Amino acid sequence: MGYLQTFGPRADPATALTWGVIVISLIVVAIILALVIVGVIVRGRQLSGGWPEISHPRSEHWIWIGLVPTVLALIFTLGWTVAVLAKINSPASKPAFTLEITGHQWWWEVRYVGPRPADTFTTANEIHIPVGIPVLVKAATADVIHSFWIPALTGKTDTIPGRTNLAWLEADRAGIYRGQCTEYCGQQHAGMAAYVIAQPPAAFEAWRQAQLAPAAPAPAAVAGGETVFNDHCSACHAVRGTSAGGALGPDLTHVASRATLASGILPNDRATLMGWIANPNSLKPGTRMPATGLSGPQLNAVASYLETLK
Amino acid sequence: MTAARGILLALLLAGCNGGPAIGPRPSSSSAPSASNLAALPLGQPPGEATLAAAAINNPLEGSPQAVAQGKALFTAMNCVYCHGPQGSGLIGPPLDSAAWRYGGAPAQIYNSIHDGRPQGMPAWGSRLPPEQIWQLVAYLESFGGAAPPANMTGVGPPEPSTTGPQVAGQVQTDTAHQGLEDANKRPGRP
Amino acid sequence: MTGRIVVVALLGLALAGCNAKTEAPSAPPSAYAPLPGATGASANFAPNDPPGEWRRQARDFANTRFSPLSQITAANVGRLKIAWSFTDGIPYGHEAGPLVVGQTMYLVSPFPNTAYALDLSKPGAPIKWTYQPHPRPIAIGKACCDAVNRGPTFADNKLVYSLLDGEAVAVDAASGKPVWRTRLGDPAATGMTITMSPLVVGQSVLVGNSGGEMGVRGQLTALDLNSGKVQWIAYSTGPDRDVLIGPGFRAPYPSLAGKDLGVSSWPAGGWVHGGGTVWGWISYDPTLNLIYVGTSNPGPRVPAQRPGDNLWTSAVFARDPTTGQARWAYQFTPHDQWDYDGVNEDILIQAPLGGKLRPLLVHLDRNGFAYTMDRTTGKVLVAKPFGIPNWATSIDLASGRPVLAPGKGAQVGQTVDDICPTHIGSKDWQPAAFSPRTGLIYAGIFNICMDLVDHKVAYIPGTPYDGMDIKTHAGNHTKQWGAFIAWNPLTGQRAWTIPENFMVMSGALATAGDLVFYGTTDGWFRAVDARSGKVLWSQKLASGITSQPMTYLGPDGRQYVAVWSGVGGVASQVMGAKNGFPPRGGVLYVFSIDGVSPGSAQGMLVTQGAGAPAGHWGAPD
Repeated sequence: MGYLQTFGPRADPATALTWGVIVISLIVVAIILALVIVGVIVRGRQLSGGWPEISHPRSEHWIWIGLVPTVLALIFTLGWTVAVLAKINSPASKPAFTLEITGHQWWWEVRYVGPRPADTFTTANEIHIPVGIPVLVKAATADVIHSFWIPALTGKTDTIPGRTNLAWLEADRAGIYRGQCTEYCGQQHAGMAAYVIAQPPAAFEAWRQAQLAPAAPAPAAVAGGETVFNDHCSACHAVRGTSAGGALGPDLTHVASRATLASGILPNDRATLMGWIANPNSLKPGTRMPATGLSGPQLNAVASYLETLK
Repeated sequence: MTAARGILLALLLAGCNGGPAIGPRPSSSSAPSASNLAALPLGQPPGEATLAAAAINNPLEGSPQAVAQGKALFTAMNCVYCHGPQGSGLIGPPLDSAAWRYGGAPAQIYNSIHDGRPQGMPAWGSRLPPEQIWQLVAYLESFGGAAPPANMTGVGPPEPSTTGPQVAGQVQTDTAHQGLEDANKRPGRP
Repeated sequence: MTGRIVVVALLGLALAGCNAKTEAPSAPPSAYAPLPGATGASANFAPNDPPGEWRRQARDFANTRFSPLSQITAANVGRLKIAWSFTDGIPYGHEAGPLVVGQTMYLVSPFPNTAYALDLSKPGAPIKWTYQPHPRPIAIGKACCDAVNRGPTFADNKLVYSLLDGEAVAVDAASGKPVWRTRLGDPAATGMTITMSPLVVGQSVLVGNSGGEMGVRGQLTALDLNSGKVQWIAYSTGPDRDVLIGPGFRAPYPSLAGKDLGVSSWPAGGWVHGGGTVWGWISYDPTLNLIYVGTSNPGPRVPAQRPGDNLWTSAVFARDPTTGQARWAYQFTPHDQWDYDGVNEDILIQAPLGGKLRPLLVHLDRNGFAYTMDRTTGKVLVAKPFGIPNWATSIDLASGRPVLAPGKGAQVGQTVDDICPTHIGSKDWQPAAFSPRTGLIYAGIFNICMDLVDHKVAYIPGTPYDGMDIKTHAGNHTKQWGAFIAWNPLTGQRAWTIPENFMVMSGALATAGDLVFYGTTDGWFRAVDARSGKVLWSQKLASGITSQPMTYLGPDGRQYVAVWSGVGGVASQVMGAKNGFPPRGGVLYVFSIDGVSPGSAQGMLVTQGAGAPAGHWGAPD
């Protein structure tokens, strides 16, 4: 029942509405049940002599007695829903920055766009936001329809080819919130997770500054790994600050700072990383990343290089 | 060790081949698979593909999925900005006609992509795994200009070697002409 | 008029006897005297080469392409005939102009960049020497717009030019032997090529680079004229220390002031592959000791991938040629979305403007606006459309920034119709000329618009960093794809226009005979009255003209006009599919009155092979 627990101003009103509607519904059901039971018991005793005539002048009152409260309840919940929609349509304060989230088969590209051009950088699958500060989301797709959903923070936002849909995110408590593609998008639809990491503003700013920096020059010990990467990986992956600028796969400038691989479904440790590079299809069947055909020493070298991309 | 375990897992899973492979299966069971690529004489001078090499079929021949993947790669690898939309030619030569500088048999096209060519074509052999190169070949074959694999008669005579820097300029100039004229016929951009 | 012709002819004859190293006498002042009705603009024609010579592509440092020769005038231009011709057999686009120093003509072919020295004193101008540098053919496929070269420059008895594969070379002008070769980039690794014509200022060879479409980072390099060693490199993007912006920099507008704008006006790290290549023209003001040089479009060409102004792309720099340090810079097209490089020539003139005589810089940008700027400060004084730009409504002189028009911004995955001008601009690199006699600028321009859709693009070294998908059409629903115009740089208005069915992509040549020469991409070479714009003479050449016409005084004292035909480059890419567009093939044509040249007399060709008697001009010795 994770989605009934929410932690942000975009999700909280909807949660309250959800509970409210459930409670109203339960009350209605309880009243109806009670009336039915009472009717059955009371009238049952009166029916000892067989069925009465169907037509009874007093029964029309019951139509009105039923209709008026129902309509009032419906109008009330409609008004509440509209009010909630209005409230979560836009954040209380101006969003601090924009997240351009692009769905790919099967991962999330995340581009941070700030007030200054040089605030712009790209990462993948793990979305850091500052606690208590709203962030605008522009959701788009590079291929098919996906849907971006962080249940504890925000509703679903579909990504439609040729369109950009707007949403916003805000978390009022630090933590890691799991997200998931919720529009079937192919074989690895289920393996298309995302994480929102809400951090206190200072920690977020430190993370942002680290992400803005280009990759540090590769230490001599991993220079061979950088060569392997440039030869075999750079046509699809970018490492800012080097000549690698591919765009088919996730930006790996700071891949070692991420906790997961393969769109949030694998832990980012050396073992998994090497297994992933050696044969991605075995860990995520259908993934668009091809097997690279690297030798053992090459695998070791490139993993060592990637581990330096903090 | 966790590292050993991860690799072992990957290898085991690769061996069992439980999940579907990236690309489709060859349409003909007699066609060589992508793993038979060792037979290809990579790295040889342009225009000198042997008959044996030219007879190698594209293992992804005729697969619509391979064509679609190849088309996506054609854009993603920036091929389109040299060879034009639908391979109509621009900075680089057109790929949609029967005129091929370095041979139009599938294996020759594969070699051109894998090794690069002297007038600017980059070598993709390390950047793209064999299956992806065959996908590109499948896409180029879909233009209709490629030669059938076993039939070398339609490919044209081998071109002179361009290995020596002394002759490179002249030879390249001559061979370039045809491509330029082809490109001339088409609108484009710088 | 006749008197002047005689004077110049005599001077030419006198010079013909001289050696090339003789100090040049200044040309008769009358050659530069303004005509009645002139705009009042004049220029400094330093370094005041001998009037009959042409030592660099623009002839002078101010980039005027004005020759003081006046034998050929409106009265006799109708008698221009082919004197002799020369072919290099190269199919790539010919974008260079010949040089003439003393009795020798120097030519550089497109790739493979062969240099030729032709002996003008002998019949048919036979080859004195040939230099074959053998650049690497990999560069052919890296050059965005054909394997072109925009010509050599002559200095200190050396022929200095660039090679397509990223080198600069100096060749001994007497022997044709290379003096030095300096590699500035690797086309295979990064896609960098060089097509531009270097400029020599003092002991520095200034050479830029090409490859903005490949994400090549723009750079201007100064090489030592004697050794070819690098003196300084000024990059077009990146931190101030790379761009050579120091304490001496004065921003003409507030938006151009600040630290490391070449970094902060880009997404993180975007400047590294940000383009801004330096593939156009360099001009030099010896009085202010400043060079002026433009930078190309930003990379990638898809603007959605590079928010910000993307400094210092599509801009012009004023730099100290000895240190490379920038004095000022101005960006013509901030956050360029349409491939409007700022590399077009900067013509240096002086004129009364705003009540005082000012040193000015006139720049007809690809973006369709012509800028008349104060070249000491970089302030824009006049900015008016010379083409039909619709991406911006005007240039705001207070901020120096264009006022963008709605609905013409480039969109990813969405076609935007009818953006004017198209990606190659209202005018590309083809240089304009300036005549001090009329005070007008003469330029071949395009009338082409585009339907544009962008696609996101990856940076893969040595491949295009492009993403623009373009369909072109003639502007204003006309069938005229080009024009040749006279431009008043002080009022910002056209003085006259000659519409052309095909784009005009040749340089212009202005002479003291009050003629202007230009060529069309369908192969017509024309002479025009500089004042009225009346076409006085046209000659159809073998192929289209995308080169730079020039004029010189032969050893026989006659004025000749020379131009390469040999279409190619971006003209073939844009217009190649149009019916009637000519095929390629490089032929140099040399014209004279009645086609007379050394070795010819009364229509009879006299050659060495024919055993002709000596005694006529320049006959075999």
